[in-house]
Amino acid sequence: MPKEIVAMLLAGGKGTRLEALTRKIAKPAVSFGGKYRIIDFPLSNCANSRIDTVGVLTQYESVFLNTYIGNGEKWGLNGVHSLTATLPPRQTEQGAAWYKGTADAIYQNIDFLDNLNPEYVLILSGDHIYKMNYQAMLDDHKRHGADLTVAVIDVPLAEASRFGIMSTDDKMLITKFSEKPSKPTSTLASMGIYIFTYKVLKQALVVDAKNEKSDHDFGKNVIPYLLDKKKKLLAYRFDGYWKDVGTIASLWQANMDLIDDEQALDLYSNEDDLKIFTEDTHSVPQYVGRQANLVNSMVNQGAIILGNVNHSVIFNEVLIEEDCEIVDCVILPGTTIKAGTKIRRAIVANDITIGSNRIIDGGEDIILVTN
Amino acid sequence: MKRIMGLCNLHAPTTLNELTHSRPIASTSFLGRYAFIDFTLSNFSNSGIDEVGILVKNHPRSILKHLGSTNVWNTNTKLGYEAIMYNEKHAHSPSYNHDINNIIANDWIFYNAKPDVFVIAPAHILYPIDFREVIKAHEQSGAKLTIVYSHITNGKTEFVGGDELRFDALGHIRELTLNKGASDDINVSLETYVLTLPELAALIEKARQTSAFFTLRDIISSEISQGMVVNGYRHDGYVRHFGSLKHYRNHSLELLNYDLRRGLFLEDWPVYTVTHDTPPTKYGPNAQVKNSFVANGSRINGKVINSIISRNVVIEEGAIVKNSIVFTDTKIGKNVRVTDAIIDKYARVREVKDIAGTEIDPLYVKQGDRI
Repeated sequence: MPKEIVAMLLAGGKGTRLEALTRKIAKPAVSFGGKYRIIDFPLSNCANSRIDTVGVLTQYESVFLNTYIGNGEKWGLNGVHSLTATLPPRQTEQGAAWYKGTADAIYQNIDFLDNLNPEYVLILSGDHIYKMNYQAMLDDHKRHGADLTVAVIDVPLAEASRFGIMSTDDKMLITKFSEKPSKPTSTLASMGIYIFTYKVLKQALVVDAKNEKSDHDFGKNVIPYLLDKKKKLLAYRFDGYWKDVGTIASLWQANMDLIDDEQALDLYSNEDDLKIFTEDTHSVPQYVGRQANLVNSMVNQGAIILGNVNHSVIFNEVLIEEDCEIVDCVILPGTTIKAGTKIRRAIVANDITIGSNRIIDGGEDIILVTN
Repeated sequence: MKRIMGLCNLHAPTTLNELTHSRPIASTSFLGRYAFIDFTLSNFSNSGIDEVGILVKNHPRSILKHLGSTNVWNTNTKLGYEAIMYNEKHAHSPSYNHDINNIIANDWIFYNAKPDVFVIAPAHILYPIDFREVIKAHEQSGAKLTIVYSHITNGKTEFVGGDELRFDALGHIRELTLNKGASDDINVSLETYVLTLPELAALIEKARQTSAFFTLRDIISSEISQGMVVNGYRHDGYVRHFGSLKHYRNHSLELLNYDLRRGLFLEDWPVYTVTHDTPPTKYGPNAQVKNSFVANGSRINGKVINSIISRNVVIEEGAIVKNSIVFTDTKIGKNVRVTDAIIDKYARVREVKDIAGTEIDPLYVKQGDRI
């Protein structure tokens, strides 16, 4: 039975600007929100959108990510009609090659898509924090008979030059697309979420693969090509919370958003039927001690809080000892902060021990504390 | 290699009073995150026992809901299983609804499993144990049956209604009788038995010949009095018998003590339970939490002292929860005071501003009640 829609999740990037956090794991596997990894968000979105077939394209430090994704069980993507496949680069009759770009990664897996024979392909990235039901976007795509639908979000004009920026007509059809323009003329930014009619995608990828001058990138090459060919490109406006967590500062900010703004990304109410699933850690319940002061924070199971914690996100199996002062911090799993240590404005890496009576202050910035 | 089968025996007459009116102890919430049966099943799992039967006495819905379709406790999810053993024919006749009749009614399970050795353990007595060591000791002893026991010094209040053991000079068990709380210094049975399939079959046959009302415990007691050689395996360390609501409260809250907790949650001996995919707990600006366990998914903006808070609990501003156990999906409204109480699932406490029991007689609020 052919699938109506298959999701292809691009999860091969290193995320260089996340510094030491991605020394041994790929960016999509970076921890977020006390309990999750970034890739839990698009995978949970797929599950909640009732998309049952997902290919995850991995490359940088793929072993951990491939293991984490497994058969998709963590997100319920392992049922009878479901398929979760990790797709790292492979050796074939034609030889072996790394993925040279986002478009090339999909091109090298055309056989995987052909076998599934979907009508539509949803392209996602493993770099963003957001909750979204992709079915509404697919409905729009079908209603307009579009060849490609790009999810867009309004960004401040000052920041527009960091994104792929779209101009649209009054029917939301895309008239112009510029990747990271120096003088942006619109504030509609691409979220890196695309729904292609598969026939159109396949044809464009085949052309792109033959073009030696191409960077094999969706934003830089494939979308301009389709615009040039007068294909029907639709913008789908998303007005929820969406955050690129590509830097230490933006990763920290997205964690703080969970504390400060319940409307931004509500993980609790589930009124939107967009629950985020993740790995279960088999931890004991979190314990808050007699001397602890714990306010404005999120704390995961397995943590032990004996000191003072304010405005921070604490992961599982973290131990905060007596008389610590943890303010504006994200403490990743398995880390111990010894007694009397004060840390402000920092992300503290996982599975390390910070000695007692130390003072670590990010000052105006956010610092990453590692071994 | 010997084939070992675990039987989790839920036929014990023990109750937790109001708490177990509509559920067995096995699926009753413990420490805000677990069900009692998790500890038995995790002991099996960590001991390498992958084939498990659960002797269900009543309330099968509650047990099935907890076990779900997930393979939380199995090493091999194809070969391992937790088979529900339920005696439908005798479910509503108390005298006939006992473990022996349950095993007879479900003996087809053994035709496939062909176990060499059985480990039979209850869910209302908590202790961490490696059953491999018990089996080894059993085989070395040459006895027909091994009973796991502990020595306690508070038999007048603990293990009342459980079994007391007396030994002869050779260290064999000479007597198994009901503990009526006459003395403090006693050896108590952990209602955990190790024996071979032929020995179990022989005991069942003897029980049938003696009395249709005989339970496994009854026939063991009777056989011991007639000279059967029974070996004792002494368990030292954490062990608790749950025989009343008061025990439930005390044995829960005492685990707020770290050293005691380390006795139940051993290093490298994880306790597995079903994941509910709840987000980390959120502590608001007015949260004041001291010496408490808090499970994930809760939102706390009031005062919590010496208490256990389960999943998805909301504690609003100005509320005070003290020396209490609050079950999942419960809401404690603004300025409500809860002291020495046990609040069952889905309850809403809003109108009555002072809910108080005593340490000796904790107040119980029923599942789903509006107060």
